[in-house]
Amino acid sequence: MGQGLDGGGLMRPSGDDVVLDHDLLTDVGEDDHHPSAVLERFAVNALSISPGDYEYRVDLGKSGCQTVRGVLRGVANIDVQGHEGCFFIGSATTGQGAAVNVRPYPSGTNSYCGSYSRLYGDTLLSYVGAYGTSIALKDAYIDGDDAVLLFSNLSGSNQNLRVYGSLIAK
Amino acid sequence: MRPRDWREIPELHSALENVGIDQHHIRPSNIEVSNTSLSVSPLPGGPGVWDIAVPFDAVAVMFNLRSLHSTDQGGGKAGVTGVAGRSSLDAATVSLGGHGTLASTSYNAAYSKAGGALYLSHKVFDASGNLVLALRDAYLTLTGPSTRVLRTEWTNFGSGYETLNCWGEFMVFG
Repeated sequence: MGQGLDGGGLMRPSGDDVVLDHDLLTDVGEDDHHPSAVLERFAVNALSISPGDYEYRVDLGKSGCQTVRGVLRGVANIDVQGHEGCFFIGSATTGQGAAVNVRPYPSGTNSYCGSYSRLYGDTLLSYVGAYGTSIALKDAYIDGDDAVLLFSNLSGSNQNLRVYGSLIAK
Repeated sequence: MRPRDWREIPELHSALENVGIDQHHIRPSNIEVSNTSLSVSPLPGGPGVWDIAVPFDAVAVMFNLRSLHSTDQGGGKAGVTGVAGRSSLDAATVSLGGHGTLASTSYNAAYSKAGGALYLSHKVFDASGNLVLALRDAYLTLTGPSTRVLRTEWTNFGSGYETLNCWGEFMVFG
C-alpha cells in the first residue's frame, strides 16, 4: 500500500492495519485504491492505419486501473478455428509490456512460439504480420480511462489492422 | 505529522460507488483445480460441463489449464491460458500444443470468442491419449442467489466417450 511507515518516522499502532493503510493513501485516489476489474472484448475487422505507430484504445469506463492482461487474435489461420496471436501483460507505464506470442509456421503443420519483453529490450511484442500485413503489437499499457494496444505498421503504406480479443484491467 | 483519525475511513468508503464489500481490500485469489473423471459424450452429444466455484463478486478470471500431453523437452505439457468474463462471448485464449511430440498434430494458436472462434483450445485434454477433447467455452455464471461458478464446457470430437484430464489454476478478479 504505497509509503512505508518507517520512512515517515511514524510508529505503527497495533490492531488497526486497515486504518493505517487508508491513512497512508495520501497520493492514491479512490479509483486506485478500490479498483474493480473490467473485462472488455473487441473486434476490428479491417481498420486502415498509416505507417508508424497506432494506438488502439479500449475504453475501460473508469480510471485508476494499474494492470492489463489479455489475449489478441490475429489473422493468420492455423486450423479451422486457431489463429496466431498473443497473451500480453501491460502496466500503467509505457514500455513495460510483455507477451507470449504464438504463430503457425507453416500454416497447418508445425508451429513456433516466443516471448517478448519491452523491459528487456524487445522493440515489439509480436511477430510482424500478426495483426495485418506488416503490423505488429508494440506495447500494451493503461492510459487514463483506456487500455492502449500500441500497434506499429512497419510498411511504407496504409495497412489494414485486424485484431480480436479480450482483456482484463484492474 | 500526518493525522491518524480513524474517522477518515468511513468517509473514504462512503464515496466509493459500485464497490461491494467483498471487493474491498480483497487480495487476488488463486483457485487450484483438477478434473480427471469428467466423462464427455461424443458429438452430437455434449458438451461436458465442469463448474468451478468462484467468489460471488467475480467479474473476470485469468486461467491456466494443462493437459497431460507432452510437448517435448523438459516435460512441458500442452495447455491453454486465457481470460474469461460473465458472457459466453468474452473469453479469449492462447493455446500451446507444442512442437515435437505431437508433431504434425501440434499447434500453437490464439482464440477469441469476439473474433468468432467456436473453441478455445486444441483437442489435447483427454485422458486416454487421443487428441479429441477441446475447451469449447469458459464463462462466469450464477448457480444460485449467492453463488457463482466458472463454467467450462468441453467438446469431444471422438467417436466414443472420453475422460477429461485437466489441471489448472485460476486468478479471480472481483
